[in-house]
Parts: sequence; structure tokens; C-alpha cells
Amino acid sequence: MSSLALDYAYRYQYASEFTGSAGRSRLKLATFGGHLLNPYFFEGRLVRPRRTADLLRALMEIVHSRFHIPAAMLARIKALADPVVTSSDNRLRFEGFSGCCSAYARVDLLPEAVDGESFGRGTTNVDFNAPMLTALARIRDTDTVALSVGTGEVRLDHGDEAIIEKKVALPVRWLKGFVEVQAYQSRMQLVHDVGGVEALRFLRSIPRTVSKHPSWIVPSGRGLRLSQVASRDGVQVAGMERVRVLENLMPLARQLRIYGDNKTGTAGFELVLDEARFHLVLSPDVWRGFSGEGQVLSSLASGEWEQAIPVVRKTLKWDATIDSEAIVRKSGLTPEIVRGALAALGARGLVGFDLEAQSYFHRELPFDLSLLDEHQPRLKDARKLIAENKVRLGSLVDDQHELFVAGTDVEHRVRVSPAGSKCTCPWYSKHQGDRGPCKHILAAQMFMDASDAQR
Amino acid sequence: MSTSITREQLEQHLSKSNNQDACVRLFADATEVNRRALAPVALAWYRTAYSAWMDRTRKPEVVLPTTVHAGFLIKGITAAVLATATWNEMRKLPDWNSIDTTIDPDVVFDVLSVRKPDWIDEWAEAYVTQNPRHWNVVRRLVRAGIASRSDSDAMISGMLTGIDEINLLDSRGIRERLMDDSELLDREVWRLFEVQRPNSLNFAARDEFRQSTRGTQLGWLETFVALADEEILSRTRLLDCSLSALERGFSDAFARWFPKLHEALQPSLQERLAYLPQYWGFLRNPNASTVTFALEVLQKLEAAGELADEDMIQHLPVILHDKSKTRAKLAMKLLERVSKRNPQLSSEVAVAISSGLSHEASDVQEAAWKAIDRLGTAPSSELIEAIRGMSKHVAASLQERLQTWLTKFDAGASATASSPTPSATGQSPTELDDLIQSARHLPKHLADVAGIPALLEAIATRRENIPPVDLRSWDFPRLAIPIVPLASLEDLIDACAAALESLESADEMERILAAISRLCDLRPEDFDLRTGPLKKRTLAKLKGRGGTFTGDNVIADLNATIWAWLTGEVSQQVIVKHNVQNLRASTAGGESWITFLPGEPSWLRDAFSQRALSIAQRAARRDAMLLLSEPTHAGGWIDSVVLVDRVSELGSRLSAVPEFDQALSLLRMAPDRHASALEKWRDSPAFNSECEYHQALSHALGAENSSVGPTVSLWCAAARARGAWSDDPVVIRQFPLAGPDAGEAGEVQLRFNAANEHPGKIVLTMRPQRVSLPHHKSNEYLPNGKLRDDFKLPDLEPASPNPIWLLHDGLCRFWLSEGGPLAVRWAFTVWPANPNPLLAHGLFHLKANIDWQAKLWSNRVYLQTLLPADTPFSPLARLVLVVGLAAKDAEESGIAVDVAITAISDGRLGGSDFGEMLGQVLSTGLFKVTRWGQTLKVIASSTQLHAQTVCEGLARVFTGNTATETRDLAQLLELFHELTLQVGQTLPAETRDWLQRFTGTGKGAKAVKALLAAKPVASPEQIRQCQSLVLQGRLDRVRNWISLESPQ
Repeated sequence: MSSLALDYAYRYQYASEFTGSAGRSRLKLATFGGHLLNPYFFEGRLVRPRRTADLLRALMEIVHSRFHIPAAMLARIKALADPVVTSSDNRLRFEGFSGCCSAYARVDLLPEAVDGESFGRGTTNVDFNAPMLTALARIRDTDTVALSVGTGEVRLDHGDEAIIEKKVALPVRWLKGFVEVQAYQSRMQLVHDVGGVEALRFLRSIPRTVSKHPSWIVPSGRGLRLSQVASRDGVQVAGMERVRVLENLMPLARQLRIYGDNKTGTAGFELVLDEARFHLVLSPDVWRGFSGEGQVLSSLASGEWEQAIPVVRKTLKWDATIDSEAIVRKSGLTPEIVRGALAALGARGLVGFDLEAQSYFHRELPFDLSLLDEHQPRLKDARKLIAENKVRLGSLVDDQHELFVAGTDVEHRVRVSPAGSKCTCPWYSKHQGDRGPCKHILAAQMFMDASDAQR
Repeated sequence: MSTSITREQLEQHLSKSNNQDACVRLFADATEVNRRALAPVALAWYRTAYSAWMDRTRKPEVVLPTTVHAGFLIKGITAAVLATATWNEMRKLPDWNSIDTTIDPDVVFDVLSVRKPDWIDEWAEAYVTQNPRHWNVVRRLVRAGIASRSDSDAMISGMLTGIDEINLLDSRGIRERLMDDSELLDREVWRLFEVQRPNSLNFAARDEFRQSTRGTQLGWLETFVALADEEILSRTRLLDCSLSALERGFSDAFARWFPKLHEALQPSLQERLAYLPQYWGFLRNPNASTVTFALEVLQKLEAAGELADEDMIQHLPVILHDKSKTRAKLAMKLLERVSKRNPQLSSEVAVAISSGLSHEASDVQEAAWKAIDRLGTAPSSELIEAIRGMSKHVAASLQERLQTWLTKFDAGASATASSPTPSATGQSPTELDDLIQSARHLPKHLADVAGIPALLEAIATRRENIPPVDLRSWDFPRLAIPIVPLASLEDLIDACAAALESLESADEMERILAAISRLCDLRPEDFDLRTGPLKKRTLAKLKGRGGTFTGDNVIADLNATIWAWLTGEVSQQVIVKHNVQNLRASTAGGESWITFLPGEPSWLRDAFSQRALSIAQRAARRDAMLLLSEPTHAGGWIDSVVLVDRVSELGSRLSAVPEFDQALSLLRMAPDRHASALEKWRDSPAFNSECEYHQALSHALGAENSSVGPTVSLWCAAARARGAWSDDPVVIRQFPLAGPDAGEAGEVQLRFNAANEHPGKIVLTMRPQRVSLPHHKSNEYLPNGKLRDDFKLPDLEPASPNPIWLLHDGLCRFWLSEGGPLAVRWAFTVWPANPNPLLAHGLFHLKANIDWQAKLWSNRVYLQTLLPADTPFSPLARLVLVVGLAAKDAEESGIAVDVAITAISDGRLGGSDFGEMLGQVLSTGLFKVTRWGQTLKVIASSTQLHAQTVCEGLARVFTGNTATETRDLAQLLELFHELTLQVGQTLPAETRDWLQRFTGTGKGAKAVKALLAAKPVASPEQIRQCQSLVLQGRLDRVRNWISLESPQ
């Protein structure tokens, strides 16, 4: 594993395919990873095949998109990752993340969308290859389309001959974004809920030009409009071009729900179909991937969550909605600690968040994420500062501790108080804590924790 | 026989020769071991040359070593790197990717074909990715058996470029080149249908380019058809590929070529039928061109009787929602044909067509309704339900017919029909009678400014035209949001650090300048320790931000002021010699950096620079002093009581305050608490002093018998602080010729000229004219044209600029925006009471960029200034708004829409005034009328009040002032028609006259006919809802003022 990317090999037993003709066809999805090498989750048929196909193609449109290309990454324009699917409680959730890490998409196929039998619970990668996606465009709602996720067949192939292997470099920031987005979703509130016609009119009114400034989605009559002025009853969105994928899906949906968290500038969109949901969650800007936001760094640095995690994790049973109150009752932990532990589990890829249900759901990303903590650059740098004795205690005035942390040529002054921490470094000055603590504040926190422990 | 090259030989070669070919010859017989041993030498040379080259770019005074000549020697060195290093080493070199392009492709081939490195495939992929034109070299290496064949996305993009290369030395066309390298026809050519490429590399763009440059040669489309005809390529596979390309999620610009190929291959009927599932699928395609193609093909198949009726009913309704009205109507026609062919399906067809009633265009809805009507079927329960569901989305022009239909066929329709549609209401107003009752108990002076008596009278007499609120008054409070001054060194350090990274607020900039001015003498022992990071960052930021204290950049001025405070050094301007040129540079911290040559200075920005420089010089001396003009409240306002305190505290040091700052302090003084401030001032020993500022302050606060002194800037400001919108006879007497907003309140006069009447179609004239400077011949400003030839700028004394003159000179100065949005925001704080002088300036910028030549971030600021509810909405403000609504840039027009919605809600913008301005601007022919159609529609959809206001406005547009032959009026007329029905507005007589004279044709004429035939009636509930919304907005305004006058 390099410092930037995880070398990952998808090893599917076969390539996913869409086969058949004359109205009878089969969508056969190949799986890889998770608790089993090639899990077998579902066998049945799609109730509304065309709509499901459109949703899956839209999901892949996001996965294959790169809304922002950093100058240093021109060569890696196309994202190669496959989506993951979680099977639990008769529903299938397909999740994906854009190559630039600024957009997260999920298709939830509710029990009404599929008619068949679930064979297992868990999360795995699914092969979404170009020929299959192309073929999905031809599905009609009157077709009978069988769906299988994984296979129960005993394959006669020997060795690796039949294995479809896709080697990809999954950027660490992609993986980090995938897990950090859950923390954002848990803070979002429902702001708008409009019918399909109004939603379609709104989506079509979005300018085609790319803007650098955020806009606000505000109510207008019975529908919505885009405003350039910050508004309390609006949802802030930057990089509206990321929303365009919804325009084509909107005729399928009866409602559009928009969630927002204006403190962080993130926004969530949920298309409500009779039998499915399509979620799109956007970072505060196209150039700000979820990975760089560092919302969970403080908790990772403080380590308070560590004791609660095993207890909370034991209660997870692949539930489609996790009842946090039940966990509180069962574990005896406080609601705050359970919430914190669930957020930390989200940051480790072990739970996702469902905006509609406003609760977490159990799913375990099929990647080895144990190294992610070490690849939090700020955390890593903070540990290095501690190890190199570059933190020293200054004065204590009232309840404010002053610490000095060595930077390049200068010493940064960190002030830690119950009201929050401040630093004199450019990172803190620029983001004022909105994108998590800087490495100097993290180092100061660690230094003070260690001092407390010694006492 | 290999020869070994020594390190010295290579050094010597690189120091003397920049010849790439010589480098190839040098390494021709070298072994790989020998090459690898020399790699560190070549790499080191590259790094040295590169950094010297970069240094020279940044610092002109840097002299390159004689061995390194910028750029071109790098070619020779690069060839040496290629001949010795590994790909892993090369990719780590700075800027390798771009410098790599400088090597001659033949050299690349020669070096690598001899060397045959095992990393060549990885290198080839990166080489072609970096520039598709490199494909030809890579292909040569593949054909020579040195590199592997690849059909990666990058290689396929490269192949298209390579095959399609326009090369004067190679006259072969695409076909010939493909035939010469026929291996490509097996695999790579088919991948062209699978790989999305940059826009310049799509088939359509290449074919167009080829046609324009080599008209006789075959393009890609003709080549494919020819190769299919010659059976070199499979025609069936080409047909398949041309369609499957449309299913791959390509962009519209990229995908639009493939249907052309498909049609050029002339598929037979049988072939088309085999592709039918795909054609149907394309109706859901996100690309408009693909949907159009599919519809056209399906139309042909339908005409041939090859489409199943059930399929049409199943698939076509999706097009009824299509953004294109033409496609939606075509789908409707096709569906109607199903019904004609098979009357048994009429009911199903009617249900399918009913979804067209939710289309956003009223004419599509109309077409759907007529189609349903034509079907003439007995309505099924499914159709009734569908139409009932659509009723809330249907345009006002259809509502009556739809409700009548529902009443006839739907038992539950009466309830639906009688309730007002939510869209018409937008929000639920409080009961009107309660609001009227509340309005009668408001303080009279505030109610009068808010226009409440006039509104109550209009409600009582049922007058439709409600006068807007005119805020050109000095009788309501301005001090809304207090600014907390930076009180400690720690706060100042934090604020400066944040401002260096990002600063958008002019108030924050003022807060920092004022704090530096006040606190610059604080030097605790640990000052250097606490400010070390800030000092380092300030210098880094200074170097990247142009000239300091030159009027170029307000942020650079702020940074230089911070630097002066931290270090005691005031950044200087120096001239540096660069080659034969003298360039201007700024210096600080022992470093210098080139700054852009100044354009003509903006005096307002110069004034800012001079003010910042004065603070910086004091801060460098640690000479702390109050900043007299520091705003106390958001927007630049100063509380008059605080100003009196400041003057008292300054005492004799007032004489050290620059004249500009003195005048600025008065101009920023809010009308609030003048009586208290004057009382306090009278108690001050300074009240009776001879000091001219003291006298001006007394006058500004309302004292009588002021003795007007000689300094024009002070007395202009005092007159405006005494009453921003009224004349000051005392000051007029002393300075009768000082121009607008000196003693006499300024007035902007607008003149609109129809096309060809006048060189300027919109002319702004400021009254009274300033004639104190004899060569200032004209004060006319032409926002749509150049300055008039006789226009000359007055010579102002830079040492004592008059803020009022500087603001008004904004009328004829175009470059204020170059300072960025922050400079413009700051300019609006100079005289917070009256944005007019700067709005006139903004008008020019908005007009100049109306069709979007460039992204001008500062343009937004002119419109944003109109958002606060207390900003006066003068005729000039309305003009700026109307122009903003016609902007092509979605953000600019979006802010204009926000302004209009806000100003209608809070009562500043009324329909008549808005419409009158719109009509006048429209008559000039300067703007695209269709853009107003779009923005007005969004404004009208906000609430019933907004719909009413826009409708009133349009009634005024369509009167005698607007030429009936004006182009593109159809969209506005259609909107007007819908709105008259929605709000129940009867046509005023002069509008009716105008409509009867309308000579246009097509949609416009149709809308006019419908308007003249319509008999809209506003229901009493609608009228009361509207009145409630207006009154509610004004009550909110007055209650807010009351809370400001009596803070808790």
C-alpha cells in the first residue's frame, strides 16, 4: 500500500452480465469480498426492471465521475472502483463514491423492488462492467428480468482460469471519503420535501454553467428555486453540476427530499420511488472531498470511543436500521457515547447512514480499513510531532492552556480551552476548525492527554 | 561494439551542447549498465536547469548559469535523462510531464528503440496520456516490436489524433492511414466507439475541423461508410456500435455524431426493427440529440406501420415531460395516431397524454388538453384521477377548462376547484383586518417612511396600484448589527491570521485596520513568539499579491499594513531593471517581487491605499491612535454618539487625522441618535473650539449657525451626514459649484434613447453639475458606450481627496472592479447612506458583461448591495436590477432575481415602477428580451404578491412606450397572459390599446389574442391575500426599526 492508494484486486468468479432476449432476461451480478470470498446474497426477479436499471446506471454515473481534477492528478481521470452492495432485511443497498470523493450515491432497493429469496446478509463488491451497463439501457419495464447477486452454483472451473480479476489502485482519500460521509449524513436535517413535478421543474432550472460559489435551494411557491443568497430556510449547495444526475431519474420518482447541514455546507438528496430510494450526498464543494474534512479526527485522537466500540459493535446484526435507543438500553452506555461510537464505527466502514430513517444501518465495507487511521495525515503528523518532542507547554491562564508546537521555522501557538482550540497555523486560520483540527491542535491534545495520564 | 561513456564525457557534452541528436549519438552504443551509472548526472543536470529556469521566471534579477539557457538546453538534458534514467526516476522529476513535450519525437524513438527498456509500456501509457499526439511515436515503437500493443482509453484517444493528424508533409487521409496500418482495424478502431474523449477529440469536432481545413478529404463518418461499402469493416458491427455508443453515458456533444453514422449506413427496415428495443430505450437517454434521433426513427417506423400500439403507449409518455416542447408535442401526435388507428385504446392514450399536463410550458399543456379533448372518449376513472392529480400543476390559462371538465365528470372536483391553489398563495397571510389594526398603532414617523398610511388608504379605497416604500429618507434607524471592535492583541493576531487566508467582508477589513491603529504600541515581551507564525505568513502572502499601497489591490494594502505593524517596516515601491525594461517591484522583509504595471489608477482605491499607508506608517512607529472613521455597525455606519466620544478622546491629536479620514467619519455617521450625540457634544469643551472638524461635526449633528470653513471635503460630508437626501443651504452658499451631493443633494437623471437615436441609449446625468474645475466639461455617463470625447477627468489633489467627489468620479471610471469584490464592497462603505454613485458605476460593468465575456466576481457586489431591506430603491437601483435580470451569467441574473423577490416582499419594488423601467430599457434594444422572460417567471412564481407585481409591471411594459414591433416579445406576452389569469388582473386601457396595435406574428400574436379575449377577475380572497402580504412586509419593517430605536 502506497501512501496515496491501496492496491486492490477485485477477483470475481465471472463477469457480471445482462443476458437473454425476447422479454426474458437475467441480470447476474458477480460478487467479491466481505465475510466470504464470493458471497451469494439474492436470487429472484426485478419487479420494475427498467426503473431499477436506470437507478443502477445513475449510481455508476456518479462512481465514474470526477467533478474536480486536482492538477497533480490529470493522469488518473477515471475512477475504477466498483460499487458495494449490502444485503439485509430483504433490501439491497448499492453504494458508490465519485472518483473525486465529493459525491456519494446509494440505491436502496426496498422489498417492493425485488421478488425473490435472500440467502445471506453482508456487504460485498459487485462487478459493474461497461458491457453490462450498456445492456441495462435496453431493459423495459414489461421485460421479465431475473436478478442474482452472487451465485449458488458450484463452479466447475479450476484454479484461476475463470476468475475475472480487476486490479485497481483505490486512493486512500476515496476510502476515507466513503467512511467519513456517514458522519456528515448523521448531522443532516430534512429541509425540503416536494412532489415530482415541482422537483423536475427545479432540477431543469439549474444552470448548466459551473459555478465557484455556493447557491441555496429555497422554497418558491409550491416548488423550489436556486438562490444566490444565504437563507435560513435554504440548503446550501456548491458544485450544482453534481446534482444533474437526478434530472434524468426524477420522472421516475414521486418526491424529492433535500437534507442539509448549513454548518458544514453538505447536502443530501433523496429521490423517493415507490419501490426504491436514490440518495446523493454532496460535500461542501467539488474540490473538497469528504476525505479531507477530518470530522472524526478529534475523537480518533482522544480515544474516548475505543471503550464503547466493542460493546456497540456486538449489537450489530445487519439491521437495515439500527435502533440506537435499544443499544443504550441494552448496553447501559449513555446516548452520547453510543452516538459517538456509531460515528466512529461509520468512520471505520462498519455502518452506513440512512437519511430517510435518520438512523445508521449495518454494513461492513469489504476493504481492509485497519490502516486508515494511520493514513489520516494530520493524525500521523501529530503523532510524529509528539514523538519528536516538538510540543512544549506554555502558560495556563484561567482555563486556557497555551502550548507551543514546532512548525517550519516558527513555533505555532495552540490555545486549548473548554470553548475550543485555536492555532496560529495557516490551516487553522483558513478553516477556523470547520474542517477538523489541525495537526498542531491534535498534537497539543495528545500532549495534554498524556500529561493527564501521567498525573 | 559498445563503448563506455564516462561521467566527464557526459558533463562535457551537456555543458557544451544542447543538441538532442548529439545525445542520441553519444549513447548509441552505450550499455544499460553504463547508462544507469550516468543517470544521477543527467538527473542532477535536469534539476539544476529546472530550478534555475523557474527562479528566473520568478525573479528577473536572477542570472542563469552560462550552462543553462532557459528552456532549450533542457531539451538536450531531457534526452540524456531519457537515455539513462528509469521511468520511476523520470516521473519524480519536477514538471517532467510538461517539459517532456519539448523532446523531438524522433529522438524519443531513437533513444528508446536502442535502449529497449522493460518499463517502456508504462512510460508509453503516461506519454500518450500526457499528450495524445505522442501516439505516433508509441505506435512506431509498437510496430517495431519494442512496446506492447495497448487499447487503453489513452491510446485510443491518441490513435484518433495520430490517424487524423493534419500534417503538411503527409497528405494521406484517414482512410489511407488506416489501410497502411490495417492491424488497427481489428481491435483499436472499434474501441473508438467505446471511449469518451475530450471535446476536441470527438468525431464531430474532428470531422468539422477536417472539412474546414481539407475539404476534399474524407472525414471519419465518410471513412467508416466507405470501409463498410468496401467490406473492409463490418457494416453490421458498425450499425451495432453506432447505437451501443449511445448507451455508454457519453456527453451530448460527444454522442451526437453516432446517430449520423447510423443513418449514413442506411439501415434497412428489418435492421431497424431488430434495433427497436434500443430505439425505445433511447427515449430515456439524458442526451437531447439521442432522444431526437430516436423519436425521428420511431416516427418513420410508425409511418411504416411497424410499431406496436402497446409499445407506443408504454414508452412515449416519458417524452411528454421532455424539456423540448417540440419533442413533447411530437410524442403527443404519435400517441394520437394510436387512438385513430385503434379507437379501443383511446382511453389508455388519453391517460398517457394526460401526463403532458404537468409540462412546464403552458402551450404543451394546452396541446395535451386539446389532444385529450379530441380523443372524445368517455372519461375513465383512471383518466379522471390522472387529471385531478395534474390540476395543481396546470397553467392558469387552462384552469377554468380543467375545473369545468372535472366538475362535469368528477364528483369530488368541486372541493378542489373552490380552494385556492397553494402555488397562487405561496404562504398563508395573517388575517388582513388584524394587520390593519396593528398598523394603526405604529409610531407615526416610522409608519410614514414605510408608506403605511398610503397603503392603508389604498386598501380602504380598493386602489390597485400600491405605492412602493421610498427609503430616501433620514428618518429611520440604520444601526442594525454592531461590530465588536478587536480589543486585545490576541484577538488582533487571530483576526489578521484569518484575513490573510480569506477575507470577504469590508467591515472585517476595517476592524483590523482600526485595531492595528489603536493597538500598535502594545509590545509584550513575548510579542515575537506570539506573532512569529503571522509574520512568516504575512510575508508569504505579500509576495503573491501585487503592489502595496499603490491603489492596485486592497488586500495587498491590508497585508502590508499588518507587516508594518509586526516588523516596523513599511513596504516600499522600487524600480528593478529586467533586460531592457524597468519594472515596478514591491519590497518587504529583504525580498522584492515584480508587480503588475499599474493601469490608470482608481482614485477611490488610491484613497484606500493612502489611508492604509498612513496607518501602516504610524503602526511602524508604534504611534497608536484611534481610527476616527472606524465603523461601529455593519455596512460602514458609525454611531454618532461614539463618534463624539472619539473626537473628545482624540483631543488635540485630531489634527493628525488625515483629511480623508475626517471626511469619511462624517459620511459614515448614521442618522440615529443625533440629538443625544449633539447634547453630549455640546457638553464637550471642544464644542466651541475653532477647529474646522469640530464645526463640521456640530453641523452634521444638526447644530445651527455653523461657520462653514474652507475644506470642501469636510463640509460636503457634514451636509450629507445632516441629511443624506436633502439640500444644505449653508454649505451650498459656501460651495455653490461643488457638484452633486456637496451642499445640494445629488440626483441621477436617466434618459433612454431608442435604437439609432443617440450614440448612447441609456444616458445618466448627475445633477447639479460640478463646475468648480473648469475642464470638467460634461457629467454624462454612457454605460453602453465609450466616454464622450469631451469628457475629461478633474485633477484632484491626491493628498486631500474628497470622498464625495471620488464616489461621483466612479461614474466615469471603469476600473474599480479590478480590485476585486472586496474593493467594491469597501467602496460601498464610504457613504453607506447612498449607493447611487457606485450603482451607476456598477451599471457599466453589468452592461459590459451582459453576454458573459468573463467571470467578473465584483459584478455580483453591485447587485448584492440592493438586497438589504433598508437600501433605497431609487430609479437607478431599478435600472441596475432590470439590467441584472437580463445577464447571461446565471449567478448575476440569479442575484438579480433574489433582489427582485426581496424588494417586492419588503415593499421597495412596486409593479408600476418596475414595469416602467423594464419598458424603457426594453425599448433601447440593448438586451435580450427572452432572458427577462425567464427571470420574471421565476420571480412571479414566488408568491401571489410577486405574481401580482410582475403582472402589473408587464401591464406597464406593454404600453405606449414600448415599440409594438420589438422582437422576441412572445415569451413576455405569454407570461403576461398566464399571470393576468392567475392574479385576476384586468387589462388597463392603455395596455389594451397597445395590444390592439400589436403587429407581431406567431406565438406573440397568439398570446395577444388570448390576452384581449380573456376576462380575468380577481377574487376578493386573492386581493386580500395580496394586500395582507404587502402590509405584513411593511409591518415587519417598522417593527424591526422600533427594535433598533429602542434596543432591549
